Amino acid sequence: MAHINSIGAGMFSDLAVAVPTSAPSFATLDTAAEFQALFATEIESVGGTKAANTFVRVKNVREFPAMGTPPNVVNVPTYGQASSQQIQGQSDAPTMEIQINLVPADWAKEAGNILGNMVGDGNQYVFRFTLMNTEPTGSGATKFAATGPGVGTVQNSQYYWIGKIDALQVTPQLTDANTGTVTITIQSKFYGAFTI
Amino acid sequence: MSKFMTLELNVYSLFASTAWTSQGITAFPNNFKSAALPEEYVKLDIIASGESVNKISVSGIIKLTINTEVNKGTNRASAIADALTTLMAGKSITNAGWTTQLFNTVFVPIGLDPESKYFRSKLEVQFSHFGVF
Repeated sequence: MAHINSIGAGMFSDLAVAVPTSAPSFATLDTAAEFQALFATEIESVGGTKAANTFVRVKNVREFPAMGTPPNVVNVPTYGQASSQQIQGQSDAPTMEIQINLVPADWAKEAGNILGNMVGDGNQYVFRFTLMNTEPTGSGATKFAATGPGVGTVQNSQYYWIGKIDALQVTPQLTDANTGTVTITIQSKFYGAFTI
Repeated sequence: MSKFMTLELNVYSLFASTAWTSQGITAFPNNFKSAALPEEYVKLDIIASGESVNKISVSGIIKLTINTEVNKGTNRASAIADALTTLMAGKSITNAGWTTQLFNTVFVPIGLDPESKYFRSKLEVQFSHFGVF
């Protein structure tokens, strides 16, 4: 399709993690085609079988953080001038904490649970955030794939990065849904926005 | 086209789709009355009175009055509310550069309409409508 060209609420936005059988060569990943190829077939987090170019979706997301690399503006004092100057310094990696409405079965650390076992396993994965105002019209394992018949059925903007899922903190609630905070550490810059 | 006309166009286009016409339920906009009213029908009001982010956007509520037969309980009204929810909730419609996003639905059975032979229920759908400068 194309990038979103209107104002709107991104209520169908999606977070997904590539889970290929063997890890891709992270150092050489940098183009839209390379990233999008990793998100070809969705599998279930619980009971799914990893294969080439499979991915799982992080479902029941309640709140996304700001996506992208924050600026790091450094003030530089200069003698002989009334005011300092500003330069762009090296940016800090952003904090990536995703708040989810917790379904404990989706995050159990049990055999056959892909997301549950990803927490704290120390391995790098490729993540994809897709901004969508409209639900993709495809179906099945390709509905959210980074392909034409997948998210390409609607306007979309995709952001990719490499990182690890380092923690899951659970917040019990008395009168609302139980929530969890998934902390992802970032090991690359953000790539995108791409579209398909 | 302008803000409110495109809003109507986007919402009415849903009721022109086969997803709705295949249900066989008549839907009227406000200020329209069929010569012979069917046994059940839906009346549509678009109330664009909510907040907006700029002068070419608006939010509000689509109020759908569901009229069903009296003395038949609320089951049929609930079924029509479900059909309307499937048709509308979470949908995004774009025409002529204007996008209408529909959010969640709320269903309220009201009671017998004193002026007619119908049992009246109300389904409300929140929406946001945006243009682009």
